[in-house]
Amino acid sequence: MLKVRLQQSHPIALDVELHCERGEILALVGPSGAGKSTVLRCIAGLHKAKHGQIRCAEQLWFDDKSKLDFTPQQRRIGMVFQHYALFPHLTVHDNIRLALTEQKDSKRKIDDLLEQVHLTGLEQRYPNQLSGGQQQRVAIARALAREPEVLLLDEPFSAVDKVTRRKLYLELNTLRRSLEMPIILVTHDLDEAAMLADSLCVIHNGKTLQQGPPDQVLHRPRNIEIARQVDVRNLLTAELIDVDGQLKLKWHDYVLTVDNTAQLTAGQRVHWTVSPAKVLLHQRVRPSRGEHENPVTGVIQELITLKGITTVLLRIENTNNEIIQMDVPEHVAMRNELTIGDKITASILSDAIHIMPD
Amino acid sequence: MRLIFVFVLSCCFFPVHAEEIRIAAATNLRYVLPVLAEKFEQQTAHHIAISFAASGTLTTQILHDAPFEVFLSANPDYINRLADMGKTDGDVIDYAEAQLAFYAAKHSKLKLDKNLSSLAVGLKSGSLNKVAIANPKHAPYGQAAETALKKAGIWQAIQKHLLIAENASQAVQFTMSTSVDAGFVPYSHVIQAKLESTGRFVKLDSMLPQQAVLIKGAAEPAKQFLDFLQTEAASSILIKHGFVVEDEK
Amino acid sequence: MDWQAFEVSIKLALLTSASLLPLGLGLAYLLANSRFVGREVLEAAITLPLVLPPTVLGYFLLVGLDSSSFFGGLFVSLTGHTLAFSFTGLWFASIIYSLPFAVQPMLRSMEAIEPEIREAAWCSGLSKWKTFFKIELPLAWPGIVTAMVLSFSHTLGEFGVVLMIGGNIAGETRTLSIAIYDSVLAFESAQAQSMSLILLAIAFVSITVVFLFNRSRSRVVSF
Repeated sequence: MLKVRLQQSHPIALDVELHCERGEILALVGPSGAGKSTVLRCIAGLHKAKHGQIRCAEQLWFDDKSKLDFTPQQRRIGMVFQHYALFPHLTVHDNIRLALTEQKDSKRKIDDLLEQVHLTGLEQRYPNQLSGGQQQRVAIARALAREPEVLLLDEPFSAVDKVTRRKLYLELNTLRRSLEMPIILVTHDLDEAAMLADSLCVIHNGKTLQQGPPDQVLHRPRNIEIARQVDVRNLLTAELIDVDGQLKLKWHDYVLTVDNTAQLTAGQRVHWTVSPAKVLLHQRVRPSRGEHENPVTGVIQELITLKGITTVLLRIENTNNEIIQMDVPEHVAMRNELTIGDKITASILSDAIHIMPD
Repeated sequence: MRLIFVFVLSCCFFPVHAEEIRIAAATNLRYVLPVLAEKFEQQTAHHIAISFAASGTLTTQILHDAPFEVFLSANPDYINRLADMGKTDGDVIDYAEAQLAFYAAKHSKLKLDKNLSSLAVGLKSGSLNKVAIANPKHAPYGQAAETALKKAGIWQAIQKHLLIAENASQAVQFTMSTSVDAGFVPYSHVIQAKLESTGRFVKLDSMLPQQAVLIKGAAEPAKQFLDFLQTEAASSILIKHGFVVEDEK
Repeated sequence: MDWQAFEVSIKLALLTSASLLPLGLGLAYLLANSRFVGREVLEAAITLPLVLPPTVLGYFLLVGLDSSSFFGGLFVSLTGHTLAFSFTGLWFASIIYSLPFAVQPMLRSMEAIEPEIREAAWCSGLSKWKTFFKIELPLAWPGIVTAMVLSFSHTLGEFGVVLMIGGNIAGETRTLSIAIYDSVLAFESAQAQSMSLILLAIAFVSITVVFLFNRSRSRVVSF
């Protein structure tokens, strides 16, 4: 288990708190300049924050109060840099060998590592003779050769093309199951984070805003600031009203039922959001059975289809032209012959509505 | 209109004021020549431009047609070489003789005498430091020093102690270093007010002929300067600066 | 052909470049990898001999190496010999004079190493020393070879400084360039020519070797 707490005001402002369990991938997400790489460097020992503490397993690696600061060599970390930083004058074999904790039995260990990253047979090549994806794997193998307590990946997929990236995602997923260490992945790509991470931590301007399972952070951000950071779609405002002892959401003329209303009071102005996947189309062709929760009516303004999902931009009536996005499978859109300008009705699932205080 | 234009142009090419005489002089004349030049400039309307350098350097430059009109050298060999190559114009003039001094700066403990016996003593006892001379290969003061050392019978023994300067002036400069006990320098330098207070010296018997010659292509003013060098006025200045002028008249 | 002067020149050049190897490496490493107050001033000071007229350097050395100066006096008390007008004095002067020729190429090649590579080495468990010898040195090798050859050639060609502070002592401070100058002044053209050709040949060969070496090296290490 890796526990990190960092504070400093310059040269880069930091107010960080995060943790990562063994075998867990924590994605550290944020825009460029948010401080993600700085945090990673602090964990690696390449940068010393002014205040804080870094604990890995039972070992204290950094503690400003007791003036403790282990060098990178003293910490057991495996770091994969954004541009891999392979030693250009050494073969793949020697690149990995330098990182081995014990030189004994090196040939077998290197062969095992190369097999793990699917690079068997390439040990005599030089880095400039490898493709981007291959270099990346060597970097990972070199990081693992160190038998690290934690694996740090600094935007490892950013320098690779999309096709190779997909392949590497799958390989990382397989790999991590055999690794028993916390893995921290720094990325600015939310989709990548959502796909790979067990835990997602949002960082902005050096401050960690929220950490939790991706679904929670992405669709139930704690406040509006985080919501903006994770690019939440359907960010709207409304007022809470009391209806027969139950709190409901008054959004323009609509009164919406909401499931989670703990710690909320009537009369509060709030922000609310709902995942586009949880806004259900009232099908024209085959009317759905069951209650029609929170029905809203609107006119289709735009239809965007990508990878089998059609995003519908629905301009809701009587709401001053507010737009709600809903994602429907492409075949559903086709079957219902959705066209721009059509008037349709949709249900906003009440358990998917997430409320954030103002 | 055109006439005025031509007139103005010609003035640019042919300055109305007196011409400049370009003189190449060996470095041992560093102190006396400016005084001679000033006197000459007072008497005539001409202006003098002097270039000081080692005689060898100047000879090479003149051989390659450097625009000098008069060459003043302490080394007859160089003047002969120029004459052989047809670079000179007219006779060579012996206008004075220079003298050699054996000089030690203030810091030095060496005793100075005309026979250079202190050097022999220092060599024997191993207490002798460095001795500066101009390069005997090409500098006349160096050659004179070599002659004096050979006469004293210590030329071979003193080899390891010799500091060889590029020219006579640098030899003077070397003697200022605390690593140097003494040096063979132009007498005309050591009697200058500047140097008199910085050390002591003894005049040696060697005489170095100072020669002057016109370079081919020299103009009339240059000839006038050569004549001036042989006048009483010039002689008295030369004597005051430590040169010897034979009274031939 | 003054073989003694040739020997003095070669000895001086070899000794100077050998001395500049550790000195230059140390300074280049310091300048490449540290950020400290006065870093630019240090770099300027090291580069100074490049733009300083040899006569200026010669003047300051003349004063600084003199037995009456602190440094010169210290040397006399330690060794019994004077520092001025000695081979050792020339060696010191050459180190200063050729310093930028050694430091600049080494510094450039070290700066060209991406900081991430050093950091990757540290994260892989290599100490700073090991990183230097196994990673930085091999990568900066072309710059180091260039530095050595340049400082060798530069020292071989030294003239102005040697003229001012050498004293032209046969077998000790009479270098080949001084011997050439003497021969020219004494109108010994044959001697002057043969010695000049030898210096020219050495300079040309060494520069060519540097270029060939750098070209072949860059084919292996391109990233």
